[in-house]
Amino acid sequence: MSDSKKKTLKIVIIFVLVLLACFVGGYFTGKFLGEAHIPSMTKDVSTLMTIIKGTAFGFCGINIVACVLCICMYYQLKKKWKSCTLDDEGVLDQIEYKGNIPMIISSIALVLNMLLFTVFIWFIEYADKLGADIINCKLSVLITFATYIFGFVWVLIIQGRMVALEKKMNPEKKGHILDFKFEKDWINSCDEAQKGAIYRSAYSAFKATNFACLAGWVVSFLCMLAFDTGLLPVILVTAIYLISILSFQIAAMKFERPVNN
Amino acid sequence: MPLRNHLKEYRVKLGVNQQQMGALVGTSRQTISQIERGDYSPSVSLALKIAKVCEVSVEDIFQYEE
Repeated sequence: MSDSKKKTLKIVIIFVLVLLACFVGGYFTGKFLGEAHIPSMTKDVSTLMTIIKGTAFGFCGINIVACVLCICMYYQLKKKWKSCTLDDEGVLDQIEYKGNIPMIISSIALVLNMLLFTVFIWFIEYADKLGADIINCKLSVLITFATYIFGFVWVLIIQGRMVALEKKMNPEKKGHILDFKFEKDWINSCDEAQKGAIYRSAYSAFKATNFACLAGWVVSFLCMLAFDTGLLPVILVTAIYLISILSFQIAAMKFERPVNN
Repeated sequence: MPLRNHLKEYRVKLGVNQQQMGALVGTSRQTISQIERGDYSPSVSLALKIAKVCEVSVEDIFQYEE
């Protein structure tokens, strides 16, 4: 048998083994979900009130910590940049590298804010359906709404400041963070190496999204069976999966279009 | 990466920093830094521009190693 045939056989065997492992895993998961007593959300109003307060204060705390962290990092990087010259190549590379950290933290905070805000509203609705006196949650509601707006504002400011710092370090960069065409202007002002890095990062994101969609489909499917969550989560996950795959493949097809057709 | 380069040596001989080198060849400081670190192989056009600015041939700056 040739080397390529041996390699193909090895790949097929591994694929079949992974499929079998998924079947076995699925069988035992289904068995467990069918026989286990899955605890449902508490119906105790006082516990719910505690959860609501905890969610509100936790939401606020996370935002304050993340905001302070990002501000400290930003001023540290700005100070470092102001104290170095264009000949300090290693330092400039370090500043640009570390500048990614406040961007990552603020991006995570933005998504977490959306999630925690939605979770809080769900708990309020659930408590209301159980007949709890929602008026007692006034402070928690105020904190949550204020935190949501604060979260949006500080993320925008931090990301704007980091972009402005990047533009000061690299004057050829274009784009304003509040402009809807920001991404297009930014990438158009990047040169070949930076575009290459952006495209490679985008491909990593594409692969991660596909994996997350697959995992999300499994989880939402199991939750539909075990917790009666309905069809919407499954539909949303598969819609995102479809959009991700199609947008990649259609873009790839455009690049492979023959010149004389 | 199989491409070995002496860009930093030629840039230092020219007496310019990375930002100035980038301006001379029409690219960014970051790209010059990535090329010097070996993290990026320039396109043919960029390699030719760099060689022209340094007044040497492309093969003097960039060598392909197996």
